[in-house]
Amino acid sequence: MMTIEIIFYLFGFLSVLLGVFAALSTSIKNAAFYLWLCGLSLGVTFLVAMSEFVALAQWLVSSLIYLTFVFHTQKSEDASFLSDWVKQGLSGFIGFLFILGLYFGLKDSVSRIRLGDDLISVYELGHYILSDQLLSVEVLSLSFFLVVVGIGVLGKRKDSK
Amino acid sequence: MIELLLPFCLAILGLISVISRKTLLGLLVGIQLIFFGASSLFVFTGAAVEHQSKAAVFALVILLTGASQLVAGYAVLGRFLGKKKDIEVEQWSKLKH
Repeated sequence: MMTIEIIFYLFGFLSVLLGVFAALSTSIKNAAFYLWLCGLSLGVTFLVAMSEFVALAQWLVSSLIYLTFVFHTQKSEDASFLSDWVKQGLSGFIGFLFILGLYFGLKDSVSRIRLGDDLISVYELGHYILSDQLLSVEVLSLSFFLVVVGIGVLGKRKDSK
Repeated sequence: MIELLLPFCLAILGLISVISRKTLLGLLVGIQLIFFGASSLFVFTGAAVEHQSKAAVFALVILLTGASQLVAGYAVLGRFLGKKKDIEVEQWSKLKH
């Protein structure tokens, strides 16, 4: 029990420290890197708090956030030793490897992920979300829909009319 | 309840980052810190009152909402990337035209 508490406070302190670095770093690349590490260590505190599913989601989301930040910071700077098609191919290959790792890593263990004391499997979580928390799912899907429509409106070329 | 200091600190750091930075990517970093703080607040509160899975659902919703607003921020960034290296926040009014 004592070891668990030490791990929790250690990674909690690490999360705050990396959050300080991310907030105060002058370079945006370093800030994105510190944000990624902050998300990973926060996922460890979730794991210690017996919320394995959220820890997994936290690791996935922060890793994807870091990948997209790297892509956009590379895109917004002129100096690069890689050409565009190499960068796009590399990003696609990394994404493909990521999806493959997710599939083979989670294929047999999804039903064993611990969610907490009152729900014991992902299947029960799905039933709970689609029955008791249906309003949350509807609001979230509406916000995703608005994001997709907004991206389409913003991405429209100005000189097309 | 010392665990609740962690979400508080993350949210304050995110606010500092949002206020102090002028570029859009820096702003998105700060907003992500605030979302991390919000999701961790739900997880730790759920662990304290022993409703972990219900809190986990809300933390998941917050994480996904944060990811969706990040995508919207990238759309704003991509609107200007042909002209500038990065967007100053003051230039957002150009989106009206």
